[in-house]
Amino acid sequence: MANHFWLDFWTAALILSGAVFAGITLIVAVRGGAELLRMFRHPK
Amino acid sequence: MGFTPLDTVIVVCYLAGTLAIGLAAKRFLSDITDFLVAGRGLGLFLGVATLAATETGTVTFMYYAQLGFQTGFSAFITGLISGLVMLGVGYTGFIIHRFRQLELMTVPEYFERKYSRGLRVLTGVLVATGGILNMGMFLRVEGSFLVILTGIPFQYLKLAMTGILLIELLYTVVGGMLSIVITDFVQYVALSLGTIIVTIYCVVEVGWGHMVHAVSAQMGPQGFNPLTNPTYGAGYIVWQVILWTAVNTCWQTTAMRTMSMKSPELSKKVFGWTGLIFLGRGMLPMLWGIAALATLGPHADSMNAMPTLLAHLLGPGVKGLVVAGMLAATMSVNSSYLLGWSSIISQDIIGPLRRAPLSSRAQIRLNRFANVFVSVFILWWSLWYTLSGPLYLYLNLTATIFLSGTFAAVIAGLYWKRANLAGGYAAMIAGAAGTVGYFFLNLPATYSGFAAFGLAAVAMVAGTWIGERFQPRSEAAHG
Repeated sequence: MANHFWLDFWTAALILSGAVFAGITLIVAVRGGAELLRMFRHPK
Repeated sequence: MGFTPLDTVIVVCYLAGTLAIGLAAKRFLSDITDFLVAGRGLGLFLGVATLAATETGTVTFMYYAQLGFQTGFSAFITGLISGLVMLGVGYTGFIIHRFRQLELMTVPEYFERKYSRGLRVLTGVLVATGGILNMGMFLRVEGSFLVILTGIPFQYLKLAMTGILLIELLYTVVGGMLSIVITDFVQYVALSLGTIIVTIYCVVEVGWGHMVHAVSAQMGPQGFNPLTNPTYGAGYIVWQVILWTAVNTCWQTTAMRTMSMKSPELSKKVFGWTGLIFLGRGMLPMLWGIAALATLGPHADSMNAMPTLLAHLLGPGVKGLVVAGMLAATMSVNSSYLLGWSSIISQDIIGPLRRAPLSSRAQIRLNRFANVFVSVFILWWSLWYTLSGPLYLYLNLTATIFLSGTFAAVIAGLYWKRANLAGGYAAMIAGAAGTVGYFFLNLPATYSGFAAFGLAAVAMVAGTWIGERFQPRSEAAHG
């Protein structure tokens, strides 16, 4: 079927982008939270 | 299923918490640099959170879901381009590295350094016009989303949206960029969780096979292949690559994040990380639109289909979390945009026109006044203006009013030694004129967008050439 290439392509792109989105959310929540606390503890 | 008391409690707690955090940031504010670019002290992960939160609003979810509903999986090409272009900008440091080195606060400020004060003011006027018209549609779209998802009667929602705008205005006016950065972090986490929850619900409840079948049945191969889909095609792809490069480098709210980082190298890293987020920011809401197509059928209203689906799909508590996440998205975007466009009015239009320079305190006061002016205007515009075409294209073209000329003049200014003032003026005027085709002559968005960027580039080169004929070389470029 002609759609197979594009369907497979978009399925892979969606799974990858979804996994990366969730992973970065976790990293940014933890590391960004630590940066924010440092800003609050050491104001200029 | 309606909006339960549990949902309401979640949303009210979220709003109260964000307001308290925003107001708490006031004690860290000392001068105009703190107010506009957070004292240029942002680290990598706060930078990523604030950039992603600033550029991801309810309006983003709505226009991407509409594209997914209307054009199926082919729409993913738009999300893919936005993410890959941002990754490319982060990898190369194209424009953003130089901008951060120059320690600017706004994009038009560069025009005074390189070209002249007059061109800075003209650019400021075009940036403020395009930016405020762009933001002018946000409240209406956000209003539709919340009305449908919560079941609030429309007349109360106008009141609720006004209330939200007032809260945003309050902590933007009081705290500036520092308060936005702090609340952006909370809002980034909330909106990301909301995005993940809704995506899981769509895949589990609607089903992947059901979605693929619906697109195949309604659109055939065009629902999968962007090259054969009449909305897209090769021309659209090239235009979007140019547009997204301009957005990622010269869009005021994005550029303000570049300028807020600790160093130029850090700006590049932030763009690389955020580019990865942008892939999901585009494709995941498009999947919600496809889920809405599979559930509601092709005759549903394309703009309201996604929130209608969520209203049916989400259970008590989850609905409150998602509404809080979407309010988070709304507030982070609107507060940053309020600060971004009002800073243009105060720093690049009123400030340069004054004979004596303003003190830092006076600049902050002027910026707060501009904040209030922009808020009143967008509230009026969102209630008055009726959108006639797809929202995504309206937003693209209002941005192009200034992005086309700005992009050409910034690239020439940074990377072409011969660029001069005549070329700068020609690029700004020709770029803005190029969008006339879309707004007044009903030309397709791709043609009008291409015309604007093409005219701006040609005018930059031609204007520089003509300028050299009438101006001695030593005075042609002083930046």
